[in-house]
Amino acid sequence: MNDPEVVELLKTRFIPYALDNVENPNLTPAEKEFLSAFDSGAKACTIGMTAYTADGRKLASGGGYEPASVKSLIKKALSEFKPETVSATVPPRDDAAVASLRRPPEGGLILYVTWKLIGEIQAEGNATTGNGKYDKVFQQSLGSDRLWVRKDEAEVLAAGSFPESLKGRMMRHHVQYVLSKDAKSLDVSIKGGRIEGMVPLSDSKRADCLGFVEAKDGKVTRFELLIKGLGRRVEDDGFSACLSVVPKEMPVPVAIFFELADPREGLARVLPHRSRGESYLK
Amino acid sequence: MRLLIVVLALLPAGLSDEEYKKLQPELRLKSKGWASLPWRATLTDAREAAIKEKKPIFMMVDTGNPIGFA
Repeated sequence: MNDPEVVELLKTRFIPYALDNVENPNLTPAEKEFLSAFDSGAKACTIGMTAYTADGRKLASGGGYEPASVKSLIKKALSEFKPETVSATVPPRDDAAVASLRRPPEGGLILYVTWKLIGEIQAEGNATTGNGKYDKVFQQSLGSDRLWVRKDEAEVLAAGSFPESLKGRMMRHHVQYVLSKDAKSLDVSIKGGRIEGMVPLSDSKRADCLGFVEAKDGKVTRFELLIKGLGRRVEDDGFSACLSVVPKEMPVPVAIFFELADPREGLARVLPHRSRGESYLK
Repeated sequence: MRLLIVVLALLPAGLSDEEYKKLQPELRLKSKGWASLPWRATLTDAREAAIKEKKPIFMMVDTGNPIGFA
């Protein structure tokens, strides 16, 4: 997906949209009906890519971990796409249904969350990584998600403190995912705009934390937090990215990074994977 | 517990500013091309934009985190 030609084609010739169709579908009844009315790819599994028209005609599907397969899909879709044949209207927008979809908390923040391996490892893949074929791609990949911050938490951050509720959400959904349940707590504090502290792990080990917070007129303008520790293998159909190829029972150096997103950016609008469930923002 | 605290306190100091400066660019999503794509928040938004801009929709779809692998 980071191949320059792929990025340019997707940016200029397509409307990109991301959907978790099983664990976290954020669809109105009409949207579900639309996707199920044709071979939209909505039943796809890991790394499913599909292209279709706004009026519900499949153009191409497939994709994969390497640029060549994504380019193949893109080229097929573009050769099949005839804009003049697409219905010029979409059904009336159901504003009430769209408004009921989950969205970032009003007045809150969106953070990007990423994780990666530090240094080389002896990758140990599985069927998801093509039994060795894509181990290197996985090893070098960056895991990615998003995190929502409530308005009251953003205000506390802007005032120079780290909200306990935010620490808890970071731990439950991201730090423990990467460092495993051995991670006990996010013991950090803010002093002079610097976030410092650690995450105690088992066996007297720890992950170290360093970050920065800046605010202007009561609004957070910069938030970065980097955590470096030992990560473990996570097998969840490839969603853990680089963690998929960590050797079994062998913790390896990893880093997790939280960074303030610009809410106007398209990627920031994609639901956090962990936002499903009523308790997410508590 | 007291022993654990003592051991942790004796470990070398945490993440240095130098190490932070080295790792931070590698972890920034903004350094990844696909992160700059104009992802739409809802399928309705995507369909409306596709009609208006005369483009097809490209959908990443997964039974989990759909763009967790960058």
